[in-house]
Amino acid sequence: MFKPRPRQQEVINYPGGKMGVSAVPGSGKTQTLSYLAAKILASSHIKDDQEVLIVTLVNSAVNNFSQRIGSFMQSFGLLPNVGYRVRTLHGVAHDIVRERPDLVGLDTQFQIIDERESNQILNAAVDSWMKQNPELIREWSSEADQNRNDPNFYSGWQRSISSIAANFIRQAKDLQASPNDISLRLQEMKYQHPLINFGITIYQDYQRALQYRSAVDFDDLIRFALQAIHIDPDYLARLRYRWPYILEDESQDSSKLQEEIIRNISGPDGNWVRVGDPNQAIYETFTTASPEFLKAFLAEPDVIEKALPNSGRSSASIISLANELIRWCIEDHPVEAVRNALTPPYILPTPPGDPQPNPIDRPDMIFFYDKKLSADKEISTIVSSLKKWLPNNQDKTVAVLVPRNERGAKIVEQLQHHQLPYLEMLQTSLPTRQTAAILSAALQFLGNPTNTNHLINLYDLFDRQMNLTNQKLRKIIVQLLRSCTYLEQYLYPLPDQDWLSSLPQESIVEFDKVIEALIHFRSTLSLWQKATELPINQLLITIGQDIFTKQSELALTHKLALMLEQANHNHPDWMLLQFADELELIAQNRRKMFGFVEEDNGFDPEAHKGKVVITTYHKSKGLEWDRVYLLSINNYDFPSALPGDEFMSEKYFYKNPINLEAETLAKLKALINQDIEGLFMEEGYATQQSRYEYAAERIRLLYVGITRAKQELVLTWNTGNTHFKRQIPLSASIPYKALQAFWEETHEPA
Amino acid sequence: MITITDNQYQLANQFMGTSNFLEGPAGSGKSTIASAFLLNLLNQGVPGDQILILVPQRSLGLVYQNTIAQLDTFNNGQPSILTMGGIAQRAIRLFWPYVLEQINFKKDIPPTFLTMETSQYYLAKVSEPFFEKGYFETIHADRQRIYSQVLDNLNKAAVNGFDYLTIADRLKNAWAKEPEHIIAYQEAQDVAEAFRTYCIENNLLDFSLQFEIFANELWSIDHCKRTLIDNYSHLIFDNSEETVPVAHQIINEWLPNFKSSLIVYDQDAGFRAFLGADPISAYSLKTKCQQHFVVEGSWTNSETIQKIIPLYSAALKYEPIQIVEPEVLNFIQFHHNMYYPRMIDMVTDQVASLIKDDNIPPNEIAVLAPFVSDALRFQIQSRLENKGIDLISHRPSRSLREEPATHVMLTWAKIAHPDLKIKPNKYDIRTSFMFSIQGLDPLRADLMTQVLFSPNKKFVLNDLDATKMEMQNRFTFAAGAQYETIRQWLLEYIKFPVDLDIFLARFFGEVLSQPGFGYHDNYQAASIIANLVESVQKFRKVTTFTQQDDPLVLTNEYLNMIENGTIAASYLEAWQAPVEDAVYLAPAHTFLMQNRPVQYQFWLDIGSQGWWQRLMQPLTQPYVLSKNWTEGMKWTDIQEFKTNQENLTRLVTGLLRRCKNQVYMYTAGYNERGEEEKGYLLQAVQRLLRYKHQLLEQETNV
Repeated sequence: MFKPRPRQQEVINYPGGKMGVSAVPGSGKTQTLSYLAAKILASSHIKDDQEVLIVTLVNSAVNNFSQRIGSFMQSFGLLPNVGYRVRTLHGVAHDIVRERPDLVGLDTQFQIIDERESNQILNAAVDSWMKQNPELIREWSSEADQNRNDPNFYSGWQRSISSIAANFIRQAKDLQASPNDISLRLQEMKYQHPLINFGITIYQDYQRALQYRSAVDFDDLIRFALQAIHIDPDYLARLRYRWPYILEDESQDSSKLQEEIIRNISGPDGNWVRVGDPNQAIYETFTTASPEFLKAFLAEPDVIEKALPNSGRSSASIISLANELIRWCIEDHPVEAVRNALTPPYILPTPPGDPQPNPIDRPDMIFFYDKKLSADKEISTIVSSLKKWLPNNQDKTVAVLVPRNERGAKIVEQLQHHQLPYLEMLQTSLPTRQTAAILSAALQFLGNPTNTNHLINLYDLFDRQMNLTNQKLRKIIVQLLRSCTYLEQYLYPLPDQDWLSSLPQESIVEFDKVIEALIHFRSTLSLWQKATELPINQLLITIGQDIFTKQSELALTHKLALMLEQANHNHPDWMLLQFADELELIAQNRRKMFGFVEEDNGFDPEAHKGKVVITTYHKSKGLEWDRVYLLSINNYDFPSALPGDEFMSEKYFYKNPINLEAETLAKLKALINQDIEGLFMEEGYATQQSRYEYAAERIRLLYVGITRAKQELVLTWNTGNTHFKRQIPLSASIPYKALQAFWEETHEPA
Repeated sequence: MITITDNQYQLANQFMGTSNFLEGPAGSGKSTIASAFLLNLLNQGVPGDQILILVPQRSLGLVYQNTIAQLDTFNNGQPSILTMGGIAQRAIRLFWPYVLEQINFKKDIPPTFLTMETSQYYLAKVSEPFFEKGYFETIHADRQRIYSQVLDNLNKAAVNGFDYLTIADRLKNAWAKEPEHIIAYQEAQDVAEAFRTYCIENNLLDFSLQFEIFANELWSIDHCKRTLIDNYSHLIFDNSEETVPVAHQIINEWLPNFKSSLIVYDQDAGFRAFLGADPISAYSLKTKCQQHFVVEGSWTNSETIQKIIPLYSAALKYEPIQIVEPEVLNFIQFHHNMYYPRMIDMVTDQVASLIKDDNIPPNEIAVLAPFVSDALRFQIQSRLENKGIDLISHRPSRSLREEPATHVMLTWAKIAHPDLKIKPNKYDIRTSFMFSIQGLDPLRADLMTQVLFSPNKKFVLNDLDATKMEMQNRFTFAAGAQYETIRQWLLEYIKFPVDLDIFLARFFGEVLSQPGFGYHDNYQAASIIANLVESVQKFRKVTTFTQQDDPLVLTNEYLNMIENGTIAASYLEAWQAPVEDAVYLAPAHTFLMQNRPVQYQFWLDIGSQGWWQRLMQPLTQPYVLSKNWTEGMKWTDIQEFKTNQENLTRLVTGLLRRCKNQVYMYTAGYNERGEEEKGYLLQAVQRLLRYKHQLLEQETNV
């Protein structure tokens, strides 16, 4: 049973009204907030048609909250799952829009397109723009690159332009400006800029494509939710009645619009609790999200301010590193403008006798790995460290944190190679990807049934999924299939053309079992082939029902079936192979898809002791492990806005060393806000500002990484992919060096 | 076979020679009494053809059709079972010269009555230039949905009796604060007006125009009115609450002219409000009737269900729940599952157990959900199939377009008309080979496609002789020979192409239904292809004026209409399993409109908002475009909420009144799309469960 410590109790004693809580990492805020929700529900403040609304940042936190509140409610003798709703902000926005789509020009069956579909639309628009405007690309390119005509150069620009367009649209939606609004503003301000014109064109095309599909994207949801409650005050009143208490977690990452939605629903005299940690604001780049909103909220006169400064998560050594990062940043960061990236409060350990005490200190388990390592070498070093550590620490939890998904996938490959047990929390969870992979393989075969590779790929996955044979037999069967010249003689034999009966019994190990498996596979395929006359959603469900038994897999199949049904609606000309490609993107981790397994819906590290968890710094937020590896702490992934730092957004092929994206967005913002000074600011200013912002956010990301560790911490950096032309080897990031120096000063070398 | 009690006969006897208003809840025997009245009329020698049975939609006339089917004699002529739309169409045909005097149609060509499909076809043509001008950019809807809303608005104006020129103003003025997309109403108005003009210029009559001409023009011409009135001397008007205001108005004027009449009114109904049904104006007919009757109780429900109906109603209206015996509350059975497919497993297991263990006839079971997606339908269907149980649905699982036989025929049509330049893809070809050549498996069909299909050639099929013998052996020489027969037939045909329907009929009859070909002795495919041919013929009839003599124009238009989905919604009825042996799956609203009580109902995903929410569409609004809407009123969330609550109460009451034994309710942690929903029906059920819990606790304490 949860025993709150005194500062947590102060939060739980919440009397109503507005309250802001700044919480350090590991201070038990989820637990405290869940307990507070259950306590409100146990009191008679909530009628049976009202709910406590809990708003959180990411999907994975939703179930975590739900379960905790449910179990507190049960401990109070109440029915779980009743009287509260846990949602991400997009989830709340979806609820609001879904109930009254008419208020914003949508119909009941509107679709929400995901990132993948949205990128597809965007790329099509960008492609056609680039074809029509080759002279602009040349003009914006560096002199050395102006006459290049190779595909790498083109695709580099394509990625760049797509990214600028995507962020232009996102920013415009966040500023509540339609393409038309931006054009009007251009006329009013008598201003012209090719990048703004480009942005408007793509934005217009993009919105048209959405309209044609009866669809909205995630940013529209937020915008529309706000519009809906503004247009119909009676609807707002109903929502206010429904959610008399709003508890908001991770509020440091709220954007202006998001805050406005919650502020509106809460109302002037509402009950609104915001918990957050400005030091953990890591979703700000190119969004209007900012920890400043939380800081401003805390300063409002009617807000009760509370803090959760004690953390029982980490050992004294780890807390000292985290606190040193704050101190160093404020006092010693070489770039003045980045010094406000981190702010007090410092993390305090728990007081004596605390129900959730800090773990025993193990300074000998903190490692700064100072050797220069290439990107690949860094991974192999980590893997060999894990190989030594894991066998002796089966009862402990461990995670490897990487800055980007692609890097995680590479580590997974290495772990697989060394047969180390692992679990990944990257873009899409492994079970979800596996489900998509086998369905995709099935569609691929059905689309092209005379292709032996497709058949073999499907057999391999099918055999594993169904536990048909063992690894040895599977290998034999795959070899046999490879030797089958005419597949029709296996799948649809005729009396004089029967591959199976021609197989030499004497030279095949466990012949009967092999034949049995091949016949079983054949009869399944024959059923599926008959089903190809069904609409795509029904075909997928048919296949799913034949191969899956777990409910999470079947539920995912159903969801994928609806996704393909929608794709079919948008692309009536699609054939089986295109549907297979859609699923393949999920299987290859290139399209995000929430499945129904734990990794998708809330993750408990404690349930995976003795396994390596691979995830990104971003996704690790809210979680903790006994041992944590922090990778890639170099001046590219964690730049400090110093001369010589590399910035991802400043491409080598740009005419000037600028961040085209930042410059464009700054102009857009100035235009909408009618800020003449901003509009005519010289080129380079926005680039510099964005460097500061990015450097600040990356320091906070490092802070998040460090504070995931309970006892043991390994920090490494790499020199990058040195085989890339033009690339100067990277160095350790400045904060890494500062922390290392601090550690060496205060401790004997390990 | 309909059973009528003595009491019901006695009541029906009182209707003779006077006008009567009969009201009561669903299941109280109103339609049976009306049938008794019909029999009385016929028994007393009233000629059948003087009896008009007016119903809101054809399916609701079924009960009378069955009654009539049992009779040996109709005293000269059968009673007419009609909808008001049907009456309008008959009148227009009959009095066309009068119509020409009133409206500026072309004198030299007859009227063409449009169906929903063909209306959409013409509307699509009319609206094309508007789309090009950038219309409808403020709303998010695909074209098909825009078409259906524009037509819907015109229909609403017609059935409610207001000027279609005022549609946009009505919709705009109902907003308290202007939304961004308000301009779209005017755009829809422009398109609607252009469509109306086009219809009049070309003698096309969509539903709205038919209704308006009848109500506004013909009904006001004495001669026309008199002819109609003289046609019928007795009226049975069933489900008057599901009919539209203009129909009520006409009946109101017509009523004194009937020798005897019966208006039947279902309390707590009006489920077709979204189609313009108006129970309020129906009820106003009561004052025009000389005798009023109320029937109570239920022939359908058990006593428990009758007791539970007010409890649900109270829970939904947030009223105090009246005390009942706790065992009544045992009726509320609900099952929760985290996952949607698991919920479907439980539903189908329970259905199977009722049929197999308790010997419940399948047609006494209805599975209901707010929406029935194709995926849901398929999941239930395939699970029940495995258990040997038939399922019928509100519509078959495939539209005409999705039927493989249709697909195959249209692929051949594309090949046979290379001038149209609509080329099939290799999957179409593979499927067509597989279905057209008897015994051909998918693999060999694929091989044939690889070597015999050349998409870049004008005529896409290659000569078999150009294929290596080894390959011919692989896909078999027999298949090759059939292929060549088809190819030769098509090459001959290309020389003298005919209309598409004729091509389809000939190609099927002369080739594909012959021995050795895929559809030999396949009656199901034959019936589907017959339907396809009929669909093309109908299309040809309404569109002849736009074409020259070239048969390719028709083929081109029809194929395009199929491709862009305009006729995707046409479903065939011929191959539906007979209702007697099958479990019924439908959206809850559709089930209500079937008016067919069952012993067991399954309510799926009761957490879904769909149970509560009306269909929202950005260009139309059924309440603002209704007769009861007065200028100056504003539609805000207060009305929205109130209406939805009332509709949900009506829906739940309606469903319960059509349930004889038990309702099984199911909830899922995640809906079909993986989202959590906690809608108002779920909340009301929770309220009842909480109440039951309290009652049980009190009992234990005592």
